[in-house]
Amino acid sequence: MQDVKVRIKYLSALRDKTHRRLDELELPAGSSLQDVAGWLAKSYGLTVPGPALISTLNGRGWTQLPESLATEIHDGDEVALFPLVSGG
Amino acid sequence: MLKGYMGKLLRVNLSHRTVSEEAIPEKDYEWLLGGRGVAAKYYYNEIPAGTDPVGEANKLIFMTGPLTGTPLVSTTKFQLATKSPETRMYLCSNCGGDFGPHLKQAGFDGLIIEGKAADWTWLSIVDGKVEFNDARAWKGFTSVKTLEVLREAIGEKKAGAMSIGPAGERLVRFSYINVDERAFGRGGPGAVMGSKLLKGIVVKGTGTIPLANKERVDEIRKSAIKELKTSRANHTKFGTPQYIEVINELGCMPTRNFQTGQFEQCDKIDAHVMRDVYLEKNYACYRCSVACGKICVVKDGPFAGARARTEFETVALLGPNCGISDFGAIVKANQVCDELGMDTMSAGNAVALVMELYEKGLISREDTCGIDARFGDSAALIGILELIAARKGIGDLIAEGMYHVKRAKPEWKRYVLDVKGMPFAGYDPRGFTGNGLTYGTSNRGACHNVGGWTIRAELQSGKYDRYALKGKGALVKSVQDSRAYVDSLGMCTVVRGAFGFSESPTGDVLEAVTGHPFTPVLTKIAERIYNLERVILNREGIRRADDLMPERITKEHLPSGPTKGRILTEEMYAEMLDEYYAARGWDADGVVRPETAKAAGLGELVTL
Repeated sequence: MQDVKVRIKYLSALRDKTHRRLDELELPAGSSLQDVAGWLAKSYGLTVPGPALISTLNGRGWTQLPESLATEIHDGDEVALFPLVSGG
Repeated sequence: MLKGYMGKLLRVNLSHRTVSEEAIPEKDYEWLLGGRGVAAKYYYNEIPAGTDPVGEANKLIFMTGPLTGTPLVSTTKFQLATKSPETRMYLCSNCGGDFGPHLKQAGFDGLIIEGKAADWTWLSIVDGKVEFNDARAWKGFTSVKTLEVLREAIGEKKAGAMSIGPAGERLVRFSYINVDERAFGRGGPGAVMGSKLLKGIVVKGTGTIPLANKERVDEIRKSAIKELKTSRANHTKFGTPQYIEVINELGCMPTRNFQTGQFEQCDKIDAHVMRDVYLEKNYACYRCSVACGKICVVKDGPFAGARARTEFETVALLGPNCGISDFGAIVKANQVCDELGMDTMSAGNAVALVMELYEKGLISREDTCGIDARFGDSAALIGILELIAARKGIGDLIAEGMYHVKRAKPEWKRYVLDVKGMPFAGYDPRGFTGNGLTYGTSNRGACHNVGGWTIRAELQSGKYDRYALKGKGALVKSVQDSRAYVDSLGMCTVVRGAFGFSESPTGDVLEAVTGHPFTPVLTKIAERIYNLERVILNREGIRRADDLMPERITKEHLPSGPTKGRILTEEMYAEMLDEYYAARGWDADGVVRPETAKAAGLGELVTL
């Protein structure tokens, strides 16, 4: 089976933590958000999901997904990480 | 007597040039807390339905809260209740700056301005002494200049001051009151001051606010400052512009009059651009350790020299919503709004409407007094703002606000994004259904503050996601209620978390300040306030039909971006609204049921 590519976007203050706007990550087919979380912890020391940020997969919160961290990643998926939002 | 309060208000009648002091019943504090709650009660009793918002009978009811001016953190807030010139109904508005703390230190929890001056007037309140002064020479001054001359006139650089600019003088329906360069922004209270020929008020107080437990207050303050250093670090660094990139990524950035939900040039106007290119310094309100205000300066280009304190809502609505990708132009437009004295949010919506009408050929270059009013044109943005404030060309109609525009030009209704005459805040509700319900059921029109801000919960809650309908009624009620009590405290919502002021309040700060066990009953007080406000709105004729979404949201799918294809149809919205009314105890037409009013104890506070 082919690897899947996922784009990870770092928004707003998260950019100052990673010093990057974007990563493109290749993972083996069948990988899950748990694998993405593991890569983020190893690469940037980020705890995802965690109390200090919001994480989305294709615009939906990770914690809202029926299978949560076990959600399988598909080719072309987008993950976004950003600080806790509270209104402008 | 309860501590934390001064126990009285100051009533100033401009028609008769009289001043009186009145005790505020202690039960009002116990049942309504202060600020927004107590101001709503005075509104209920003193501003009947049918009052002309820009007539002599309207009043400006300013009210502080128990925490205003106390030595905690960001205890800067005070509240205004008045009949809104923009929505033609009840308006509550919340504001920072130094005015509230000084009013309280001058000996008053509240200030009621009534009547109409014979000619342009400014007021000074120095401790208990009130003077009426001639402001005829100040007519035409910008709101910012007026703040300066007010402070100079009493020789107090650090006094609290509020003023209106030329837009308020000309009764622009979304003119604001500038308060120490913060604002009572929404709903057009500047036009109420303008209608009273009141150019400004300056207040200086030197008194002490009594505290029940000074040592405990000091402990709580120190602990909160420590927590805020971490929890609000991003506010200190970026302020609210930190949300620009996020809201755009989520596909609900108002773009070209809400025609779509993602702005393709967002990277030119995001928080990093603000910080790295335009940020001059941070601005902090009274006793605030966060300093989320970002004073931006344009160093070069066509808008060199422009300076303003730029927030997310301003950027969203004067920027992407007008197709503007030049941050310098947004700073300039922000400054123009401040000087003329107009709400940047309603103004941004107004300019976007003009641009769409112009691009669709529904208004001509003659209507715009020669301005080529296209989306993305920075000069057009500034020019249209000036037209509105000067009431020239199309600006004269737009200055009457969306309530009037929709009635005068019903064929433009599909391009107007408002609820009850108040234009949208900077989020497209097709991307977050709960956000739509907050706009619809906010007690002052399409507002993200009084209406409640649900976006975080809609991304994080395990009960529903952002596009779900079920559960949103209860969510919106909960966030609205928590905001109702926070608006009555006298403390900024940015720091509330450090004091336990959540949807389920904890902590003992109110007990330490007032000596009264408020915390366990805050949610009950909040429900009482929200119901009292809805009773006022019902009295003014507001029903279900007024709580609905505008056509663009219910009939047009978002055409592009991550929310492509999303819509909030009438049927979808109705499902949430029914759930919301049930959670509130209102009937199907949005009227507060007698048993709900009784359970909230409203009959013991006012004559229903």
